[in-house]
Amino acid sequence: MTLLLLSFVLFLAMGMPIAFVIGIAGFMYFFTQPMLPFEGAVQMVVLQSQSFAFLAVPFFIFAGNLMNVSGITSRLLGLARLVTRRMYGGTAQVSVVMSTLMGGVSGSATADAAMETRILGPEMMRIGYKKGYICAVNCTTSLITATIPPSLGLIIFGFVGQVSIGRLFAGGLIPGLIMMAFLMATTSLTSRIKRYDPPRAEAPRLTIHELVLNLKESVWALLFPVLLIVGIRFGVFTPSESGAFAVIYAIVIGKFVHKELTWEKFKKALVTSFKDNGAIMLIIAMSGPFSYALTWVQLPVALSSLIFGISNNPQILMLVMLAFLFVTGMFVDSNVNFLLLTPIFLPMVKSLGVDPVHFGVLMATVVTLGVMTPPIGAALYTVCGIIDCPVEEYAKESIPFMTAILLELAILVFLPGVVTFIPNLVFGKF
Amino acid sequence: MKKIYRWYCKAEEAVCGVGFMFLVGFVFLSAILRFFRFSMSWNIDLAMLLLAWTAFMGADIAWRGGQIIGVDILTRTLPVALQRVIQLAVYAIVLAALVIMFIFGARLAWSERVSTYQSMPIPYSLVTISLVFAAFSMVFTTIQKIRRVVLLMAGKSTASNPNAGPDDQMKMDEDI
Repeated sequence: MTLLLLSFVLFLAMGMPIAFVIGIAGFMYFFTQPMLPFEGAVQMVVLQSQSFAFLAVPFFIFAGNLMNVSGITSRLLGLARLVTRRMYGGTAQVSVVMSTLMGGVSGSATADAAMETRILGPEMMRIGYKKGYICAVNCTTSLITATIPPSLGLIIFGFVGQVSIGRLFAGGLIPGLIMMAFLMATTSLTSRIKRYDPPRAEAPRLTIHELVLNLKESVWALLFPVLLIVGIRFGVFTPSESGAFAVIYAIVIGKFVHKELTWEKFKKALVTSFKDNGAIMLIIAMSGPFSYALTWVQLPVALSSLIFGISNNPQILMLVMLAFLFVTGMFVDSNVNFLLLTPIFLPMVKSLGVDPVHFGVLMATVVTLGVMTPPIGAALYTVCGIIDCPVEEYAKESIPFMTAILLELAILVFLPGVVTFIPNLVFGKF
Repeated sequence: MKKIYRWYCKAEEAVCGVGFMFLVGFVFLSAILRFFRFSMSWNIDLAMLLLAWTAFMGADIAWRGGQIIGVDILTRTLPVALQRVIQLAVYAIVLAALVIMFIFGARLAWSERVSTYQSMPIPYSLVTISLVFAAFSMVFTTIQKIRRVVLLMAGKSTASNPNAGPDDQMKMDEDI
């Protein structure tokens, strides 16, 4: 176990890409164990890519990229501006609402945070928001994307833990909306204290006519998550196939409804997608031997006896697990966290009688939060890089938002019904 | 030589892109056909084969394009010379791992050569070969990355980021 974890930490600290870190650490363990044939390690890398459930990963990445270039993003942005224009901290509120709307078409929090910072960042700077605040708002609110279906985190959790992806998708809906409410309240509060962007007196009240006019255009994107869950529910497509439908949907809307999708844009989205997919699939594939080695050294057993030793109250144990995931998320890539820790934690929560969907949604949220927390977080560095903001400033300004998110999660731990209500309604009770 | 390499990179991107489109079209089609109670036994196998190839080729392309990067939070505080040495060490370890993956992958593919898919008359080792191919191609990319760091250390190059290709920094920004 020492060799495995030591090489993991050492390679990570040296700045090695995470896919190679877990891959090589896993290989090294196989090398030192004469009982484990090395061909087996290579075979595990290949086999890890051979899961039908993982098809959803490339498809949803592609669908998200296509929707971005086919005019769906700009229409959703219009809607977000419309409903927030009379609010305090209006432009920051646009970001919160936008993340929620985008959540229904995109599965990646990092991509969403980057897109919003690029679009809203310059405008917010002009109005007088501080850089740290801009990054904090755009980055932390993209967590809503990770909860509202489709979400890559939920897909990977569902695949690794053998939990119904349709149920997980449905389970993410209400927590996503609650998070939106929490973050809008936080934005309103903090921008009032900082006197950012007060509502303009001349801003006209939102009229039904305006809303209908906008909805005519943006309804296609808003309908998407609903269609997805309904389609899976009635067996029109399996969760993995739903990704292929998403791609075709995006092409049809972009080409025939919005008429903005050109061959050039399509090609660009395609290249971006297979590269993104390659980067993620490499991590997934390379995690095969490492995860096997973790079981071999009996880390799951050690960890579960450690956690079960703390208490026997299911809620407290869940809070402990989420806290553990929050800490690992600060240092380790979110995909790696899903791949390595789902098989350890899920059996534990199941034995406590917790609904896997309930835990999955909370785990997906807290693990994805890891890409936004310092010291190591992909979304955080991307966002801060875009408008050139020091990480310390971001860290300071993001505290109220992080607090709101953690508070929401803690409340949800005690209210499983809020998460499982829609899955039980749509798919029937277990 | 350079020309051939550039041609090869373009070809790989094209093949990967076409494979990706096929994957989508294929899974979509088989879902539609299934809806009309027309099932194909080989659809899952073929989709999985395409997934392995597009995934590993995509990873190779992303590695070449400098998109697969590590976290430099600790190393960037070190003196530049030491940073380069560490980077060199990282690439050397990755190179060794890729060579090993290539050799053992090839051996695995060879031992599997006789077994075919249950549903299709093609050898199962085609899946393993996708990894062997990607490992082989990544070996060259890694050697180039090492060369770039060595040139930097010798002071013969001014590029600030040896990991990224010539026009990759720009592309990376667009990608996100």
